[in-house]
Amino acid sequence: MAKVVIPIGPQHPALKEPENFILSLDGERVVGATVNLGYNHRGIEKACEQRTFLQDIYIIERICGICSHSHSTAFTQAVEEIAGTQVPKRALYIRAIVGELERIHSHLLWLGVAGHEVGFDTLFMYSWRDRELVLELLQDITGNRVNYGINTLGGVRRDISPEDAERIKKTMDVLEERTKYYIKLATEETTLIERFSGVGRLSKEDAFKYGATGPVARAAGISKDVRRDDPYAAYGEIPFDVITDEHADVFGRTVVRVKELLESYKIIRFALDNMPDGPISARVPRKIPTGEAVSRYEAPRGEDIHYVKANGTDMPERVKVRAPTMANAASVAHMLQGGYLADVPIVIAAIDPCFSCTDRTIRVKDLRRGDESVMDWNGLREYSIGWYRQRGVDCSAIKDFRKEDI
Amino acid sequence: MFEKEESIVKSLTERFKSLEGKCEITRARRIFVSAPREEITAIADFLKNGLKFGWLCTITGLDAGDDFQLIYHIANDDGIIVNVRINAPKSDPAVETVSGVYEGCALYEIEIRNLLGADIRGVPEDIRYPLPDGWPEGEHPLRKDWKGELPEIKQEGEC
Repeated sequence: MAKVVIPIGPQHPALKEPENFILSLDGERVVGATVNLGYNHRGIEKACEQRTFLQDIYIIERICGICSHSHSTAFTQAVEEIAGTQVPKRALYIRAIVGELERIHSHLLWLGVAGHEVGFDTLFMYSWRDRELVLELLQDITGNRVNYGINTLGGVRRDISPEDAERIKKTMDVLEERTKYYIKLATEETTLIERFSGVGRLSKEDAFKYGATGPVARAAGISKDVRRDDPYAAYGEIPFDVITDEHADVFGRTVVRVKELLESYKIIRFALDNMPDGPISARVPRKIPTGEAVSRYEAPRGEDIHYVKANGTDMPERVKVRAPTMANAASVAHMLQGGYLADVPIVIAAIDPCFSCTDRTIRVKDLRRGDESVMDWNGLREYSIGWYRQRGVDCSAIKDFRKEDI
Repeated sequence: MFEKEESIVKSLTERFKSLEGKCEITRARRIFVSAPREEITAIADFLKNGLKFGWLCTITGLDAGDDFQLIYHIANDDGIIVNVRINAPKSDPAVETVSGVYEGCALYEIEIRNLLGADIRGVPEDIRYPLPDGWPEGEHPLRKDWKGELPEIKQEGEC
């Protein structure tokens, strides 16, 4: 029989972001795969050239809804390097703490998505419920659940108070307990092991050949992590282990991510205990002197690299961004080949391509009465719990980790 | 102070005479190199196979007035990045691909070709990434003189 060609995407190819995959099938086997990107190209690099360095932080932060801190940190680091700014140490520690909180929320999000893609929705609900704890912490210390706006040129915009630090530590304890459960689940639960093992294979040689990065490379046994290799922020002073695995498949990528969560808790605890006192930002001139810098950041999905060139004005000459998913695009085409069609969603999801989330306040207009009210996050949550309860779904028996309890 | 960086610069200048005096260590783990464009494939090959720089992180394309400038950001496992800069005049913007050396990098080159209009030889010509498929020929949005004015596309019957 002739080969069948199936287009997947660009609308929602298993995930909520536009990407297109053209798959050639021989029966159930994928024999050829091409990845077409570019549907989400928003001209951000060009837009940055027409705005000031300070405005650019907020554009850059919106490249990604999940790893926003990665991009804004990589960019501010590059600009600070060109301007020769000495960023206060306390600011560097706060950047690392927010960076790790972001990694935790991103990895928990991924774990949920992976569960969902293989029909294990209980895992999805568990891990996203736990992720709420991190999002609430981020909201409390930065003001936002995503797109935190914590970075500014020369440092950070908000300090972490001793009370915040205490709450972060307590939440880390709860999450550590939950993560140990996920590690047990990922390494002992037969359904998951069977479903993930041998799927989406990418050998060490191929990971190297196609330039894979982040957990995808580390799950193929390549010990590569910018936090250790090219330390930025406060990582040069914080002890942690780079997690690798030899399975080189979706199972390996799962193990790497859940184990990395434990490292993140360790990093946050150490950073909170060893954070020096002092100012949280230094002054950076509005006009940045002529120069260029290359800045790297270990985002949850892998290496994020920014190149910035300044021309002596208050606007950059060029900003170049390479997000980690781009580096993994060549690998995913290879991973799909030889696998089954039914494995395609989890293989794609296993590189953790990123998608945005969030709306936390809504304006409610009562059409009959004509009045308006604003419903905040807690109001929305109460409303949704009540809505399900009315329909016979009672969540009160489930232990709910609310921030009030911590 | 920068022993590793200096030994890399030494190996590069010993192997390529054209790089003498063209290498600059800007800070720990960052080396900028200005190279003639004819030698980019040979330099990439030497960096990968001779000096164990296994990772081409990305390629930056710049509009530098009369020239296009390409910067190849190539990293090793010690966190060192060698940034190899080449210039190609806009009147003759031909540059050989390095995808024969770093296999995952064709998309970076395609992006530069489409956004800037540099003529990268040896990558698939029909891929428009990251532009839409119907994007007009000859419009290169990352050029400094490109102002974002495109001919309006109307549907049949639309006025």
